[in-house]
This record gives sequence, structure tokens and C-alpha cells, in this order.
Amino acid sequence: MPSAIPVRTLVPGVLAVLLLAAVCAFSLATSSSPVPIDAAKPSLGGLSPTLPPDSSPAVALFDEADRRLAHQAEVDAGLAKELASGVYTLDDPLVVVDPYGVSPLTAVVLFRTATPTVVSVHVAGDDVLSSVDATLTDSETDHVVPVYGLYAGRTNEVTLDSRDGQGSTTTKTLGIATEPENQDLANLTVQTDLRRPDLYQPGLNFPYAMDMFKTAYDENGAFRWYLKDWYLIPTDFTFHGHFIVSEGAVSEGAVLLYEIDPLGRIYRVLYTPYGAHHEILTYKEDRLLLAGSSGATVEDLVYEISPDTGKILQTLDLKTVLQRSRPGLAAVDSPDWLHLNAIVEVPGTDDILISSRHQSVVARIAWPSGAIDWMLAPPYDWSFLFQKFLLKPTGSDFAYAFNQHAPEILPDQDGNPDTMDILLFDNGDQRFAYDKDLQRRILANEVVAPTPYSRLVQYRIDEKAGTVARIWEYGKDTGSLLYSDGRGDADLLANGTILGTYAVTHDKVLSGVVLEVSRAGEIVWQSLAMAKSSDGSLETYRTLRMSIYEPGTTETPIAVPALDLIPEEVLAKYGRS
Amino acid sequence: MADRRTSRLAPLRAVLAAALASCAVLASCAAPSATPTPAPDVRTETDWTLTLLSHESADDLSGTKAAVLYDGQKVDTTYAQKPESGNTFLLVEIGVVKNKAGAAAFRWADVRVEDGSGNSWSRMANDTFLENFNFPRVKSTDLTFGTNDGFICFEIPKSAAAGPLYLVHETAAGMTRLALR
Repeated sequence: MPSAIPVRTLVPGVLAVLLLAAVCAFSLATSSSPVPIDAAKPSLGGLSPTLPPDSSPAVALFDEADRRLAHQAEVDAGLAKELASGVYTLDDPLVVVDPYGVSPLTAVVLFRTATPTVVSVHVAGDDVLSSVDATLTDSETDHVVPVYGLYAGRTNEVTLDSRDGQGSTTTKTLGIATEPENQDLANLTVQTDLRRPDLYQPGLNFPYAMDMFKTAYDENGAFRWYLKDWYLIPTDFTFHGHFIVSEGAVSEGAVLLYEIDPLGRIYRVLYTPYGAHHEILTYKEDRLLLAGSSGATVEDLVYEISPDTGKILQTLDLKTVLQRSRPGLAAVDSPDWLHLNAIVEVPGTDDILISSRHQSVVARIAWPSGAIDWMLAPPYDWSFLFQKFLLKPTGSDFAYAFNQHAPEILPDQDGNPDTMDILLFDNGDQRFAYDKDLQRRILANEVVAPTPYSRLVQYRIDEKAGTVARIWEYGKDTGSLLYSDGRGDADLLANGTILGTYAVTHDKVLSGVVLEVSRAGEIVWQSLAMAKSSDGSLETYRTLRMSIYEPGTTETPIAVPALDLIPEEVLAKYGRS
Repeated sequence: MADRRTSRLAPLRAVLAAALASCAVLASCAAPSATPTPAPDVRTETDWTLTLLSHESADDLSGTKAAVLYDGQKVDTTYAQKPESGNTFLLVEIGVVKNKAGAAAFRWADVRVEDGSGNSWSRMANDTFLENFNFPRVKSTDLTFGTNDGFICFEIPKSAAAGPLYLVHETAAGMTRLALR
């Protein structure tokens, strides 16, 4: 069978910037007069999102949303009818594999019990770590039990325990057969090496990008979940046990956000005109913050959407917050001058952290005013206006992060309320660019250019003193082997290990490496994801380790229709009612 | 998701534009051959209703699908699928509707294509490739529920494709036999 994925020309970071600049320039040259997307909303902050000259992508988005919602309504109605028939029992249930036709490694099991029961699910894995278990929160008589984490192309052993109020449990073991992986997924391969099973944080690995797929794979590299439809990379896997996936424009343009569960069942559809790239964040539990674009520049907009109404509540143009004109930065004259690649909620406050790849800065700012509290950034080329915000390094082992990705705020590490510990992925793309003497000696062939490296690094920020110290790092000595110039992730897992994601390019082939390491720097587990196609390249971005059944998972609410929150005025502007 | 633009088949699912992870896909299909008058259809089962919507033979399938990469770049993924030498793909668009709750599953092991000479062929073990060419496809696991419309694929000898063919679903509860041509 021929390879399905074509040879790709991978665009290194600088070229990507140029490409984005060209795309933006083309967009500017061809755009029509600005048309406010919703002039009645003051919260747009003076920005004027424009309709693209060709509105067909947006219309296609709306068409697809209509199709999906209609299909789901039909499926839900059919399932409800089956359940209402009363013929299905735990001993002889109705099993529907992939009921919505988009998530092949899932199923629902329908049955009725005489009294309300709580159902637990066990999907047998190839070993203990790869088994999937959950206890659902509902106590019902009509059960629509979601089953996640099946293997592809085999008959899976799935055990349901149904426990009534008196503690009596009835057990049923089912064999649930699934289809082979589809051709695109079969083109991907994940090799793994589990060195310390005792330290492995249980859960599946959810890459934000496995090429175009949303997938989850276990510690053995077996895919246990995937969506057949392709979505953009930005994803929120933590929206109350559901996922937010995005479809549409990367830069300014129409995007639909779908809240889905692992079955692919849709709970709501939201619209934004600002594109979606890098980040979709659940903020204060009931809102979403996204990284987007508006106007002549790209990837320098933070915006907030209400999942309840679909309204865009706030926007913040980071050109009004940070210093665009840092002369030492390669991207200073690019529309992608900032490259906002992460937004993090600061717990207990209205503040957020923002991460800029092209400015090598992590900043704590107030949301939505943008008032800067501090900046963790190399001290080069900042104007006097911004120098006062720079954290001062302490400790002889301190080193700045360059072109970093995915900062996260750690739980309290030292009992000091004045400190904040953050963990981030330090790509290091421009690590040596500011050492002018080194650059001179390299050019004069006096020294060999140092080997670039990426690292996972934990900083402790004393916000009161305005200082920063390096607490922990991994990877400085891995050199080019794990050098990831453009993407990456670092997560603290529940058991204390650190999960690092690397997008490694060797010989122009991009692969995804995920490492779980102990604080002592021992590799607990690692995976290497590549494509089987001719060049082997594969998209990757971040990885989340988590249970596919998040705490609080309920039975599938087939009686609750999806919310279509695409604003009527938006549909009208695209000629739809 | 992609836009399949082969004209003779029934309307396919709605598509997303290239700005999404999708774009035009072309499937090249061989022209159907002239066939003799088929035997009449047979229906004796009641749990499921099997309907023939369309069918087509294809000596190869090819197409492209666009994806948006991390940096916004769009790349085309090229797909091609060929049967074994001397064979052809028989793409059959069907509807399978469950008629009553509690009915036994619709099993693909009970489905076959027959010619007029006693030969028969099962559905391909893995025809997920149909989705690369944007054929809406009926999944190959047991059907237990609802209305299931879409394509399934058989790989049959080209010589058989020229003659009478029947789609058969046969269980202990009864049989449906539908003439393809």
C-alpha cells in the first residue's frame, strides 16, 4: 500500500516567520474594507475583524457544523428510542461502537436496571498500566455508559460493574470489536521504552498534534483514542472532562470551537473571527482564553469567550502591552513579532502569564488590562520603559530561557507565599545569539559554534523581591539529540515526574519525542513518534498525560442537545440565516 | 474530510474547504460495464432492511487531501489505492436500517457479493481507505443500531465485475439478495 503522507518541506523557524509574514502581507493586500463583526459589542476593544475576501472557508465551517449537529441529533434520538424499548439489560446490553462515527476507539453501552445503579468501566489493557478504569458519577436506571480507550482492530475485553444503593454489584464482561486503524493513523508509529514502570504516571498520552490527528496512546505506544476528523493544533483537554477542539483559520479568520467528549459527541459550538493558534485555555472554569490574531500582525492577541453565550468578552492586543521594537530580535520587523505561544491562568487572581517565543519573554500581566507585573526575559534590548519589570537572576547556575514554550505554574513548592515556581520548555533557539563576542569569534573561525540544546527548566520567582532562580533543569547535556527549535512542552505530573515534549528535527525529518523523567534526571519512559511515509516527518506540539475518563465523568447525556452558539449576526453576514 | 468530485455516485457528505484540514479529492473510477438482466430481488428478513443505493467499480482510487500544519502552511496528502492485479474495487453504497429494538447485530460475515456462477466475495477486511477519498463509509464492525448509510468495498476479479452481481445478506432469520446488475 502506498504511503499516505506526502513528503513535506518542513519550514524552520525563521522561514516560518517569513512565510507567515508573506501570508499576512497577501491578506492585507487582498482584504476588503473592514467590516465590524459585531459593532454592537463594546468588548471588541476597537479591533475590527474583517471578513475574508473569500468567505467560503467560513461557510464550509458552518455547513460542517450543521451536518455534525444534525447527525448527532439523529443518533441521540435513535439511542433514546432503543433505550426506551426496555429490552436491554446489563446481561444483554446494546453495544454501539463509535456511535457518532468520529471516534473509532469508543463505544456506548445501553441498558436498564431495576433500581438506580452506579456503573464502573474497566477496559482491559495489555498490562496493568495500559488498562483503563473509571467509575461514573451518575446513579441511574437508564444507562448510556461511555467506553473509552479501546484498542484498534481487535475484540476488547470490557467489564462493567453495576452497583446499587445497597452495595450489591452485578458484573458483565463484554467483547467489543473495533475497526483497524484508518490509513492515516496507521501511517504513524510510536516507539516506546518504559524503563521505570514503578515511576510511570498512570494515564494516556494526549498529543496536541500527532500529525493532524487528535490521539491518545498508552505507555506501549498503542493508540487508544483518536478522532477521524482533523482539527487545528490548539486544544483544551481540560474543559470539565471534555475537550475543546478548533477548526478553521490559524491567523485572523473564522474558527469554530467544539466542546466534545471522547466519543466525539458535541456539547457546544462557538465561533471566533480571530483565528486559533497555540492556546485554548479554560480560564476561571467558565471562560475560555485563546491566542489569536487581528489586523496587520499575527499571534499577538489574547481574547476571551464565554462558553455559555458564545460572546467574545474581552480582547487584548499585546502590541499595547509589550515592546515590539527590540533591535536584537530577528523577528522585530515581522508581523509575527511576538509569537504568543501560551497563556496560563494565575490561580487566585485575575492575572495571566503569557509566553512569547520571538521575544523570549514570559510575563505576568493583569487580565484584561495588560498591566505588567514582571517579565522573565533575557535583559537585552529592552527600553527603559520595560527594564523595571525584568526579574533579576540569582544563583550562579541561572541561565535565561530562549524562545520558550508552554510555561506552567507549579503548586506551591516552598511554602513561601511570595514565590511562584514555573516549569517551561526552554527551546534555546537564540541562546547564543546575544553573546556578541562569541558570535564575533565564531565568524572569525576562532571557535566552533556551540551545540544548541533544549531543556526542561523550573524557575522560582520571588515576586516580592523581583528575582528569579533556577531550581531544576533537564536536558542541557542532551545537546542536538533533543534540540527542539520550534515547539515543546514541560509538565509536572501528579507523581512528581516531569513530562517533556520535543519536536526534534534531524536530517530535515521532524519527529516527536516525549520523555518522562524523574527529578533526579532518570528517564522513566520515552516515546518516539514518526510517520512511516517516505520522509518520516510528523507534526507535534505539546503532550498531556491524563486519564481519558476525567474525574466527574458522567454517562452520555443523549437527551441534552448540543448548543449551537454561533451568533446569528455572524451567520447573517455570511449570508446564512 | 474532503470533497470527492466523482460525478456518478450519490451525493456525499458535506465538506470543509482547504482552509480546514481538507481539500478536493479526486477518485478515478472505471466506467461500469454493460450487464445482462439480473434476477429479481429477494427479501425475507425482518430485523434489518438492506437497501442498495448505488454501486461502482474502480480499478484504482487516487486523490489528495490538504492539511494545515503548525505554521499555517497547507500541504497536500496524496492517496492512492489499487486492487491486486486482475481485480477491481466494487464500491457499493448501501443503507442498513435496524427495524426493531433487540434485533441481533448486522454482521458483515453475513454479507457477500455473488456472481451468477456460484462465486462470492466478502467485504474487504479493511476498507477504511474509502474515507481518504471521501466516500462516506459504513463501519466494518457489527452494526447494532440505527440507520447506516454509506459505502462498503469488495475486491473482486475484473471478469466477475462484468457479469451479473448480487449483494446478499443472509442469516438464520432470513435473506436479502439485491441485484447490482
